Amino acid sequence: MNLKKYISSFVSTAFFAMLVVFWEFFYPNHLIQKEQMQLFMTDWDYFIQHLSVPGGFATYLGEFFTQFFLFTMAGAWIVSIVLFSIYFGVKCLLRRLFGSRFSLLAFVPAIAYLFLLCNDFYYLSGAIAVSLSVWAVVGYLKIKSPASRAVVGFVGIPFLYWFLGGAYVLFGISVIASELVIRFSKESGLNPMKSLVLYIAACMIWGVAIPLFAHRFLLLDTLLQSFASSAYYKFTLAFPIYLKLIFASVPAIILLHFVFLKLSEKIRLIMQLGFGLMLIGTLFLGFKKVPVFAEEKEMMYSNLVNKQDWTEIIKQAERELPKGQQEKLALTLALGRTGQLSSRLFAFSPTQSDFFIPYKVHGMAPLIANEPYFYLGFVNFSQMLAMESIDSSPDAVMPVRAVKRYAETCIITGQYDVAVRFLTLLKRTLFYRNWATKASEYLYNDEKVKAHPLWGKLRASQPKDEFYYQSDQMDAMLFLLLRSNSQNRMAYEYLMSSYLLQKDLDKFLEFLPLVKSMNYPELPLVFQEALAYTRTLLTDWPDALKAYPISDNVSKRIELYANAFNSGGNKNAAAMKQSFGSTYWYYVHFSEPNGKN
Amino acid sequence: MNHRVKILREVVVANQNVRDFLGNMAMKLLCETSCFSLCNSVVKMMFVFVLYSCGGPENVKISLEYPPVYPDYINVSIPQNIAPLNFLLRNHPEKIQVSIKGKADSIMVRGNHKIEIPQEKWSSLLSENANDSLLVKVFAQVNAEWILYKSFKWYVKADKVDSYLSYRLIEPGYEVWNKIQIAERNVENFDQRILADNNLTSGSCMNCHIHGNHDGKLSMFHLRGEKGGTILNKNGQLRKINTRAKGMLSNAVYGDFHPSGRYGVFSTNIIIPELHANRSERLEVYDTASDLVVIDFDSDKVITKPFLSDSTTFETFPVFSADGKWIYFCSAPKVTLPDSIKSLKYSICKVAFDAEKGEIGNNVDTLWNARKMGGSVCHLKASPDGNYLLYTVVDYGTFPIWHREADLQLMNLKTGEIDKLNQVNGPNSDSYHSWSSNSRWFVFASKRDDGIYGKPYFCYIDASGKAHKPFVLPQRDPEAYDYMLKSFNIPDLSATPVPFDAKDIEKVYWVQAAEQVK
Repeated sequence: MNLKKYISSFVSTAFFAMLVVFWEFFYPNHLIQKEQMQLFMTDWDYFIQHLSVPGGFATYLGEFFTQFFLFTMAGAWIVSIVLFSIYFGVKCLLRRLFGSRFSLLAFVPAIAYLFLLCNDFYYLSGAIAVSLSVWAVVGYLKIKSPASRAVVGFVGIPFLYWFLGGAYVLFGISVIASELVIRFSKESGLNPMKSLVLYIAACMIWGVAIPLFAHRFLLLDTLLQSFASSAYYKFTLAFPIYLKLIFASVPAIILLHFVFLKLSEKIRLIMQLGFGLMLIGTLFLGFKKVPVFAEEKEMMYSNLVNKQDWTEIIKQAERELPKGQQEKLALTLALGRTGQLSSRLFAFSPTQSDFFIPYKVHGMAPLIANEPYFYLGFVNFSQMLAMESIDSSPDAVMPVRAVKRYAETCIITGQYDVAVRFLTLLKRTLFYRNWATKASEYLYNDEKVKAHPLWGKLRASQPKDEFYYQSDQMDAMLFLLLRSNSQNRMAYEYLMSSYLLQKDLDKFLEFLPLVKSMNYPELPLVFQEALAYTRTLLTDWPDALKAYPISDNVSKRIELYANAFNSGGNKNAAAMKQSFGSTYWYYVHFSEPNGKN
Repeated sequence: MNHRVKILREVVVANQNVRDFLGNMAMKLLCETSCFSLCNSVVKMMFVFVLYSCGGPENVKISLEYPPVYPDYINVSIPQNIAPLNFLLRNHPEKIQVSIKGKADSIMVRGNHKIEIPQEKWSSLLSENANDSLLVKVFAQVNAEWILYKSFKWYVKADKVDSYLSYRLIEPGYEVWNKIQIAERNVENFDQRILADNNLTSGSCMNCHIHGNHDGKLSMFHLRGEKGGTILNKNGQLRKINTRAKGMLSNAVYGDFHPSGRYGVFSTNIIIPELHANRSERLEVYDTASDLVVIDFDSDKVITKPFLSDSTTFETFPVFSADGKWIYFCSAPKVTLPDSIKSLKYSICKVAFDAEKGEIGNNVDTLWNARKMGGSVCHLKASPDGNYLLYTVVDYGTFPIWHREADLQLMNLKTGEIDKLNQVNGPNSDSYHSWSSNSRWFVFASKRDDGIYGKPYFCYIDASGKAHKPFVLPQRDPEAYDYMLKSFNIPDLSATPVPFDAKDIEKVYWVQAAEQVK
């Protein structure tokens, strides 16, 4: 008996530890991103607004806890506690129904929800609702009198429907399953049989009638939403089968356990072992197949951009070259922000498409999409993409990161009246209140905005010419941006990088004279390499280019490169990469602007 | 009477409705001016008593300026059937007291920084003072000091405005949208009903809910999306029509009902949005092609003329004249876009329409020549009495809502005279207007507050054709406009409510097959 208890405690603890480790060390950026995708307000109105719809209380709780995902460790612990509470709730439920027996079946709903939460479309509120429903069944089973239980069950269905949304189904069916078990195992419970049948029928009718009533008279929701609520899944037109299976799993576990207990001790032991192996296998396969670690990495870069941690982005890229579009965008932005674009760009195997994410009308505009425009000084474009992120969020919930950016762009462009609306929203949050209050000090104060270290610069950097956003004409747009502010070094580096990546040396040379207004201590390395390469193509070195000194080191390196290239290196890209992979010359000879080698 | 006495009288008047009994007593004493000096000490005692019992104004400072009320309801003309003009003060007072005084009766309202006027008292005050004015006095306690601001008036017009206003509620975004609703507001109170909600129609876009003959029994709007179509409401019978026949540029876009209700005139447009890089601009939306068609709703037939689908000219924003004998529309010669966008200028033209035969005439007249007038016209709306044409003028192009310079103009169709409506237009875009059935009121969407969020403003046109200062649609909570993240698009007036709601539209969207025009 004691051994069973120890095993149970050990397995439970191991499960919790596994949850914490997974969320804190393997998948933390998904949690941070979940926080960025909502705007939780701490005031009473927001709470009441949530209570006015079915599932709203669960949504409120979910959003409340999600706001702490801003801090990785807090997020990992919160998700783990919620998932563990599902497991522990089912365990307690089985204990209450069948005595203190250890059942691996209790892990099923929690493990299933663990993998669902790896997907951004599933909310924490859904897991909380499932957990609360399970605990509501445990509470229900604590009631000894069958008649009292019947009353609580009958009242509990509409109550849980309104507060937790779709998980009321879990409660309703679990209550029915429990009553059946009580009736047939202990020969107690609702008697006579007719009462039990009546109770089950009433619960089922009640469970269907209430959402139908709400749909007809109270809600402006689709029928599916009226039953399921918006607490579980981002897309209102669907309610995934996985959620339905999780709802069904708890009553199924009750019935399976009931059948299981009818088997002999030996068979039970074999089954437990078999099931244990199955669970381990499921976890192993699940962790291998379900979490999208490539996405996690993209989110990490996106989150670092949000934190403006440019150094860390470059460090990460030095460790492993970025692969995803958002990662590459983050890296070029970090290089641009730290003034390294013109010295280290080719160390990271760049491509022409690394600088911006093309705007698409379909799907959600990624939160990172507006960032390069913002820091370059294309404030209008950044504002548009921030608003598109807000408007294209599938659940109509405002992503706080985009709201913050939108407010910033309004301050920079002097749209103070509009900024006020968004700052007011941010002031109603826990973690953005201070920022919004400080930002409010800049409203209607142009001088103060001009003096702001970032906003002032960006206001001055904005294009003065009139032109339209054309994602396929970025060079022309960067040129116009530069024309408005010829000291916008980042715009200059973006433009020159684009020409170099296109191997358009004529354009590079055309814009090279602007380098003098950028106050570089010396000609940037990439430009020197490009010039050195140009020199190899010309018989005479024009006087105009002599004003741009190429260092001895670069001159020596290109000689070495030329020798290696001419002695077979032209046919051995790998060898050349090893020695010269970070040079512009290697890029010119062995890479294409679209990234193909 | 010296200042002190004046203030005393104001304060006592101000408190009368709050503490009726005490207020009436004080009024009585004050009104007996002949024995004022005799009763001075009694009044003083009463005054002190009233102040102590009500916490009302004392040591009132008189301001010669109007109060900083929001919305701007200073000296506006209002219809006698409008909802209470609740407002707030922008200078964040601790308390306010407002007296609204008519010929005989008055209302006293108190609040912190905003007031909510009781509906019933308000309605009776308006009807008692039709074609007269109400005097509004505002006391405010700012930094523990009471101020009496300069009084202003509300000119109550006996001419009623149509009671129902439909509009689209949408985030003023760019190319994508999230939640869109078409709502119907009873302007006599604060009741609002949702007529369509894209949450129920797979998130599809919906636009332009317009009424025919200002009657809720005849209306339409375009519901986009896979299962969409133009939703036509005739006496509550909802039809879904696919308005794109073979050879048409697009589905129907901007349109209007013929007075008979049988026909609709529409433009078909290839619409291109472009985002401005410059900080003072936002979106530019233009057509690369646009034509006109008339749709016969009885036979689902499309009627057009070659010159209305000419590829060298853009035609858009068509409306019928009040008698249905003319189609007014905007027309511009095609230019290279977007390069020559600033030369894209639309004129107002008209062409005859024979409803009996269902035929469009052959001659096009120009009423407003863009070349000569130096602007571009959008959104034509003919007044129901046939006297006026109301339209928006911008510097160039065809999408005024993001043009700050977009202003309304009123053309007298009898004399050709044009009123630039200087007293109506604001510093930002004023567009998307609609007449009330008596032609005395029109509503329009104005972005005057912040340049982004459109709100419905009502404007009175008196018998001489003079336009009065407009006022924004009142809200129960006057702060609602500050917090709302939606624009009121395409406000359209109707004398009666439409006989459908969002659930009906959901059914039509998912279940009903679309009729195809030929």
